[in-house]
Amino acid sequence: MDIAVVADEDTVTGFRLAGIKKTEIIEESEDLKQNLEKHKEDTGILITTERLAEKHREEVNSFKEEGNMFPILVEIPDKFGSAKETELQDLVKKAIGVEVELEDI
Amino acid sequence: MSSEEIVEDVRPIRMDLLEMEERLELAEKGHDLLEEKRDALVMEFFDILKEAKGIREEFEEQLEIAFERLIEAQASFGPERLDSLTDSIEETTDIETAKSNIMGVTVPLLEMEESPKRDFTERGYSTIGLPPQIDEAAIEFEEALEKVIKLAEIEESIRLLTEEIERTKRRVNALEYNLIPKFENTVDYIEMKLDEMERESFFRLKRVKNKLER
Repeated sequence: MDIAVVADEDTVTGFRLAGIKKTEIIEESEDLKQNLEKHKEDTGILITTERLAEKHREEVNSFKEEGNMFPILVEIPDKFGSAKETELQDLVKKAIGVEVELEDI
Repeated sequence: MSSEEIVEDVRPIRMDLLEMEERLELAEKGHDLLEEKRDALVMEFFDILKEAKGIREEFEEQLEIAFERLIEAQASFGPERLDSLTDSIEETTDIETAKSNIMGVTVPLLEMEESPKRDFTERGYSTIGLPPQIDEAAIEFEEALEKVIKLAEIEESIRLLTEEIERTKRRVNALEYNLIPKFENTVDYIEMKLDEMERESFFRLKRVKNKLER
């Protein structure tokens, strides 16, 4: 399977330098989910940026919950850095039912 | 949720009482097992979480370095020219996927067929006349790519574990707050009815006896 990157221009250029061919440059206003769908065939990992994912949170979540294990969607920071706390904090709350500071673990 | 709820269509007879007692016992056993499963999953979750946190941090640090190099490369070569140069770069290797199992939860395993880290001769463009920053950026992004694979694997595993914990918690709660009380109430109800009927027939017998003796 391949790795695909659906992200802003710089993130895409960076991963293209590393040899990724399945890429799509998109703007924040564009339909993220549709572009993710476009690249999910035979894709193991689908990379997008946290910033884009935050902008389209509901669509991204519905994409994640589609039930197939692959592609795995990974949200990464863009060149401006991390846009949010990682998803991990959220998952801890879900699993344990209480807020646990990740620092404490 | 009413605490007085009982199972519908039970008859106040011994057979139904026995059946209900069996169902209650089974539900309690299931509840204990699910509770054990939930606790084990949570422990597993914390173990993996610790690992994931480290991998996430490592990856983000690497990505930051990669972006710094990329910006330098863009500055010395021009973003558009750099972008068109990437067309000629050789495709990286495929990833191989497999599945593994953590406490009954199917989780992904990912691996690249070869390391994404390459020699400059393997990237497919001629380095002659190109600023060295391009190679440096490529090296750092290859490094980031290698780390993102482990990251994807572990974060997805955590997500799947979380789902399973939630599902198990729901089942534990359904048994604890719904089914088990309902079965208990039903058992109580049948026992009460049976007692009542027993008292009734006892008195009836007594009265018949009295009448006969008179």
